Amino acid sequence: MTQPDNRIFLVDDDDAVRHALKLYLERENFEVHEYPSAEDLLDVIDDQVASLLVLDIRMKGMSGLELQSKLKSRNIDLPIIFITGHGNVQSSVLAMKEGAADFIEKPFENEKLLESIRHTFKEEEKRKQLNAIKSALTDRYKTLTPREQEVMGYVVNGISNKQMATLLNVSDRTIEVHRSRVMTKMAAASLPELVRMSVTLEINGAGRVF
Amino acid sequence: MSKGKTTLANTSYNPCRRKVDFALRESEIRFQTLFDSAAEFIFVIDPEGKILLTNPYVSSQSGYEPDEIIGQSIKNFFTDESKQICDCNFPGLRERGHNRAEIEFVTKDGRVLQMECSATGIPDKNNEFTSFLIIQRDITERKHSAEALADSERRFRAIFNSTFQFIGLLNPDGILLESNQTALDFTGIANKDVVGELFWETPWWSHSEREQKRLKEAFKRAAEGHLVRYETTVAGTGGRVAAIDFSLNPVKNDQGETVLIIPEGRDITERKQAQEDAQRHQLESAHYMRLSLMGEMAAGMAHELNQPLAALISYCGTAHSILSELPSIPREIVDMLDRATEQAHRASEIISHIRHFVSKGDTSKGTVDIDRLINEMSDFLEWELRNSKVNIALNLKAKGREITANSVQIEQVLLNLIRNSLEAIRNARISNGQLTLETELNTEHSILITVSDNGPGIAPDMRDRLFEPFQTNKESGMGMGLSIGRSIIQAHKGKIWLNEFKKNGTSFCIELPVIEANDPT
Repeated sequence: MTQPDNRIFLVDDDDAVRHALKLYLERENFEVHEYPSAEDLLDVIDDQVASLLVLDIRMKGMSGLELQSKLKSRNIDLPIIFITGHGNVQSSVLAMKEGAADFIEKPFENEKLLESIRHTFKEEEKRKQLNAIKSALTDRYKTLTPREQEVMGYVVNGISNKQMATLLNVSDRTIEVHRSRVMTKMAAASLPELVRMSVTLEINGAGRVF
Repeated sequence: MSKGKTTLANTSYNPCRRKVDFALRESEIRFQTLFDSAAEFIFVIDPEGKILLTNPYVSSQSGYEPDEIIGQSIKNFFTDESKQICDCNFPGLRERGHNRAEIEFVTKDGRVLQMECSATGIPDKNNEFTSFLIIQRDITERKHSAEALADSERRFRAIFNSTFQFIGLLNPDGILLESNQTALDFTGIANKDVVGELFWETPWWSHSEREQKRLKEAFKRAAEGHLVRYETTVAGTGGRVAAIDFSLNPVKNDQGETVLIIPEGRDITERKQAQEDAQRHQLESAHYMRLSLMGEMAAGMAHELNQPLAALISYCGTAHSILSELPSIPREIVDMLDRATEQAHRASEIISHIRHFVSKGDTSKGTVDIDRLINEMSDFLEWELRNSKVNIALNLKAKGREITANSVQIEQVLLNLIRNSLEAIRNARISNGQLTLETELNTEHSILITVSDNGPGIAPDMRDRLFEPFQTNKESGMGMGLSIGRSIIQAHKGKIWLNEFKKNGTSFCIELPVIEANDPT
């Protein structure tokens, strides 16, 4: 399911804040769904899909931080921007540690929120792209035989063919064949590219992907 | 005359035989009766001390039969010391014809009797002393009692004078009979200065008419036989006054009449000081609790206020955008919107500062650059000063030296002083109000901070109690500021005081130790 890239969920127990922010964000071409409490959001979150959450911390009933934790436990991985009326250092640190994208203190200029949203979306995009690449590379890596994976590990660590031959107790020629197959299957045009791929896949010298 | 009874008549000394028989006989009978029934030792001795006659009492008390005594020197029955006394006194006795001494008589079974001895010469017809009459009274009991009494007296004195408390003795009229050394030393007076005086007129009570009055009234009750106890003060040397737990304890005789009254005082100055400190601490704690509650309230308030402010600023921003996209932009309205936004931001900052000021804060200390702290504070003060039209001057010469301090607490103390100055200037309607904050290196080890104003100054009667709780001449305010301020500065190992030399205004000084180069941080 593709996520709409402009749907924002806004949760704040203050009517005026919700109304003012929705007004502004809709002018900036975002699709805004507003909820007066964390509980109201949880009721619909599985059905509706959004790209981003703008969340107050201190609310009647469940707090924004609690909501963050609940979403995590439901494996709902949405970027969250916290807006809050009482700048408490501890809350902000906690929120960021738990993976919030940003933390803004009320009152703030509209533009500040806009900037933060745009930035968050960009980062999300980057993250998604990286995940996609990783996924593709992993698929390719899985097509390598165990021996080929081993060779790939040595190659990206700068071990020469000769050394590999000795280590694996095979002929130089065998090594060359393995190497060639690795490059093809991984679709790497050069050794440096292969190295970059291995970094992305987080392969260590022994050929294990973490 | 019965046989076997020794009488003067039977001895070879019989000077009176030729006198009229009847008179002699009467006299003899009288003498005989006295002689036989006396409960005293009676001897007749010759000038050398040889015993010629003894009375029955001697035998009954000493255990010696008459024939063991008669013919002996009287000295044989004395202890060695008494023998010497006897030898000394004899010449005088022979000359004057009478003598008194205390001697010790040893009984047959070795007991020593203390005797009061009186000797009288018996003149012969030539008026020379040919014999002496010795009468000895047993004073052993009396002596023992006297010794026991002396012993008891010594022990009493020892306790009386060495106790740390004040003790004395009064008679039922209130006259001081005795005072112990402790009480005398405390006030630097001598026994003779006070003994014989009315107690309430003695120097101990000279510092307070009120306490004198109380004492008189208390004494009246004590004289009636009641134990009275209350807290009072006594005057000591050097003008000091000690708080004492004082009591008047009446001593009664067997008939229930009060014969003595014992005044007693226990110094409780330290205890009272501790009580006062505890009370002050309690007041300050209560105050802190209120502040803490206020802090909670302020946090809640801040959150509440920031909501409408957030909405306000957002609305203004959106309105600004909408207006800016119109074909003909209404500049004035846009301008006003921007100003409205500015004010909303300002409101938010004020809330932030208030919260910061009343925040519970922790008591942990950090490194604080005092000049920087004051600079930051002056920003916060700007809007307050703008209203009161007071000019503030900063003269910061601490050269970046740092102190170990809780910056919020130090701020509180300084802000309190500044607020007090501003209020004083405002109330006195001084038009060119001036507030000065100065810092400088006092010594190598400390920084001196001075907060001065050109206000009306502090009234002389307020100066003594300036740092005590609840001292305020303001209508509002609890008067805790300086008391807490002092506690904070003391907790920072510093000092705060009123500069007595400042004329035309008020000046408070704070001294705080700087961090030394080799301080462990």
